Amino acid sequence: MIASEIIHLFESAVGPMRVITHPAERKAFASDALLHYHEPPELVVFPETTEQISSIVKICNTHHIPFTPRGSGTGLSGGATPSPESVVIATAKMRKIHRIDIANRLAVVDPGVINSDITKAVASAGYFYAPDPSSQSVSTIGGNVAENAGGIHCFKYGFTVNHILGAQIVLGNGDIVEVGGEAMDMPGYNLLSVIVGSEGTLGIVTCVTVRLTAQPQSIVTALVPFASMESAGAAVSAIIAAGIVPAAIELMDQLTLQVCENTIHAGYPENAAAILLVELDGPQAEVEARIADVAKICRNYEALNWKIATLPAERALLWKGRKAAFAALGQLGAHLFLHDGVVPRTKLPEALKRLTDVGRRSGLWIATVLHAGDGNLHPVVLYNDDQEALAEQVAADILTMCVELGGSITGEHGVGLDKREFMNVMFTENDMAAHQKLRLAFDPLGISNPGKIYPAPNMCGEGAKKYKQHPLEQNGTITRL
Amino acid sequence: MNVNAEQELFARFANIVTEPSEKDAILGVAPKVIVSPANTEQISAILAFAAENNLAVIPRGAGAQMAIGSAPSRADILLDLSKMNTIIAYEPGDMTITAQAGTSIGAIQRAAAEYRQFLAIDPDVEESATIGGIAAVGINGTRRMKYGGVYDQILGAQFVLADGTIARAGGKIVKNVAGYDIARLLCGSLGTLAVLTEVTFRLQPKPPFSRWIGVPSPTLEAAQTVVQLIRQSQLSPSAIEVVPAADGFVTALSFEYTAAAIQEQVTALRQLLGKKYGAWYIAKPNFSLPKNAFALRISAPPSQTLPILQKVLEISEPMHIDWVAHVGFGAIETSVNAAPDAVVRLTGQLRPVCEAAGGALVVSGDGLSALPELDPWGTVSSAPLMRSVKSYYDPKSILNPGRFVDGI
Ligand SMILES: Cc1cc2nc3c(=O)[nH]c(=O)nc-3n(C[C@H](O)[C@H](O)[C@H](O)COP(=O)(O)OP(=O)(O)OC[C@H]3O[C@@H](n4cnc5c(N)ncnc54)[C@H](O)[C@@H]3O)c2cc1C
Repeated sequence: MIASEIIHLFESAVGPMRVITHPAERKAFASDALLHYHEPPELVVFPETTEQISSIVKICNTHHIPFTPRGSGTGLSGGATPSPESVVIATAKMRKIHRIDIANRLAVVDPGVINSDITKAVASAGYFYAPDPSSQSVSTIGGNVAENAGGIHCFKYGFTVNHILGAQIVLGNGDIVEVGGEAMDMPGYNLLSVIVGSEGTLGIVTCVTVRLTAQPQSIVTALVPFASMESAGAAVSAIIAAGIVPAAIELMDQLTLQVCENTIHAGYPENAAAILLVELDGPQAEVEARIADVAKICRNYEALNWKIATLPAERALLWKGRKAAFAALGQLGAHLFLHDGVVPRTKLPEALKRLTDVGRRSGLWIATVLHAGDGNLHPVVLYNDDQEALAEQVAADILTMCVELGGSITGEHGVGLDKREFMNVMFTENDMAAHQKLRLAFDPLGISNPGKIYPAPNMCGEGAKKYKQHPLEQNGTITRL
Repeated sequence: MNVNAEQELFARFANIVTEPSEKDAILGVAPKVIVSPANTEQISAILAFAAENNLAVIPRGAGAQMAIGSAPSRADILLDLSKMNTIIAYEPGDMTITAQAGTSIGAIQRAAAEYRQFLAIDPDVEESATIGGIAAVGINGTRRMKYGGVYDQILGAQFVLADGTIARAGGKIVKNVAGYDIARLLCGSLGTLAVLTEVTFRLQPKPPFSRWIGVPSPTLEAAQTVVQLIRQSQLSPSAIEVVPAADGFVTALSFEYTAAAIQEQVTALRQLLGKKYGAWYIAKPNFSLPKNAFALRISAPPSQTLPILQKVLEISEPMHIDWVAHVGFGAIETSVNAAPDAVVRLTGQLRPVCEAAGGALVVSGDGLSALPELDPWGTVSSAPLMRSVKSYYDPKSILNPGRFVDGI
């Protein structure tokens, strides 16, 4: 419980209207999009300026109150789920685009600005903000920075980290620090590199300088059905081995494509075992030459058909199907558990095979979508109320499999609360201790979103009850990297 | 280093310790011993020993870039990483390569070339320069604009902390957000946080063709107009560079596409430039600058690059400087053959100009040994946070002490 005198301090920092104390209202902030975890915050504050955030954090610092930054709460790993007894600092009232500088291809924006609003603001000038998580119409740039969000076009364009030039951050003691800037490669440590992807544990980002990218001259999207996931996966490898860098290259299995087709009617052939969506962009002659190469390769791998879309509306429809995958699967009525593991691209065929085995063994349905170019798998596990333990076992199997094949437990959704107990499958105690020195440097008291990313020795069992069992180690499948 | 520590060092690391010679001095500061480890465990043992005895350690790859930063405030052990030069894993299908930190960039590029791939950095260093050194310095060449910096190529690393702890961060896959990206942080940290022992980089496919186009212009203002026209168009060159020419300046663009697409881009470029400027196929310009006593590197927002270059040329009159302007991403590299006091003056006049534009000016080169008072880095706004990071990773400040920003 936060004492009422301290609540008054927060109220005087941001104004009473900008502090939520009522239990029913606070409850709305108890989870992010991973609803398994919920922990109502003590308070929610809605600052409007960096200075207000600094004042809030200073109060937290003085009174040792943890805080959890929150954007739109669309995170999928429990990152914005409040740390126990914490204050949520929500950026919803900070949505200004401060400056657009086309000559230097950058924009300076508030942390609460919605990803796609940046593109809307610069589209008429011929630019866009490249990282495009499927949640881009609702997720904030602050949340994207914190999670190092990826998206379907990140294969060619890179992840959030490759598109951030500078940031202003409020540290755990309330200090306001500027890192990076409008020029690249400034002297000193590249602190931006670690702030991006730090899931709110190094402080709260209060202003972001993003890079803008020129719109490509020409874009083509191909829809290619295959008779098996294996042949589709092999086609992906062959396309990339040919030196082609698609703007996006996405693979969906039969269950996913059928469900998407039923909801969106994007024109996916429902009898196919898998479909590949390949997008190429760039100078027109380049796109024309390369799409012909892609077609040839797909034919060599026994593609069932070949359809291309060049008109914006046609292309958008093909992507709408893909982007609706998660929501469409949700309509099947089961609980969903969405995974985010990564394997080296050459291990995709094996990963897909093992995933099928996992599904068969457990008897659970697994629908798989993947950012095939980067080897980032999104298996969605469907389960009923009474199958929760089974779903957890499947989760453990999938994550372990990814690490065993030389990959990672998360490609874009972050570790958060959800996968912190799996960090030791990828990293040794020494590794994690080395990583966490950073946290001490930014936030010596450990009040900035505590308990996220790394298994916190002193908080064992507090937030995440789910993976306490450690089925991995029990069944002896863990190999430490 | 006291006599006891030195004796123990020789005893414990007998077959890998040697006496330094004059050329091993780092900006005039001579190390006491050279230790040349063959593996990570030895590095760990050496660092643990150094930490216990409070000995300063200067990591060195091929020694290609030691004249960067201030002279070390102390130097006991020169940690020579050149024996750690094995490519550990190269998986062409994954386009990733993992190698020990002492592997030369030349060896990496040769291995990758066999599969028509390459590591997308082209800093102006010799082929023998090591990837660990290049990562630690964080320098870039013309490929920065299309492919990003060294930071953007690194996927993971193994490193040894100042107390001897061996640790890893990142991974060997191109997409991964598990844990803090310490590997990326170590890029550009000049070996002041940890010693890199193994690095995994992403590789890129060689484009089908790569051609350079030159657009000559008599003045820098004209070059600026050309650059602006190009940057505001839908052309997508891989690099935009401005270099001096016999009768003015040349804006050099690289295009990396299929032959037909290059043709298309060049046609569009000619249309864009109209009658006023010609655009010709040229050989790749030589972006390598002669090695002189001093090198000044300027970072600036791209649109400010040529205006700042103009100032550089004015202020440096009548000194001769060699330069290349990476206008595509906002940097100017110069090589200056001048007396130390002239460089101090130049830096004093130029640095405020760069900083006012949101950029920075960094001085490097062997000449720095004659200028112990000159801060090669300039002021850095987030220096206190950087110091804090340093204090947790290297609390006794034994790794490259005094060489980095703000005396780190
Ligand atoms: C339907 C759906 C599709 C999705 N698709 C993708 C996808 O394609 N790719 C992808 O990468 N992700 C995807 N996500 C996950 C999610 O949208 C991203 O992680 C996004 O970046 C979260 O943004 P947010 O504003 O909702 O952040 P939140 O969920 O509010 O917060 C996420 C994390 O960021 C921290 N945080 C928020 N703001 C700040 C700040 N200003 N400073 C410091 N820390 C902060 C929080 O503490 C938390 O740890 C998807 C989610 C959904 C629901």
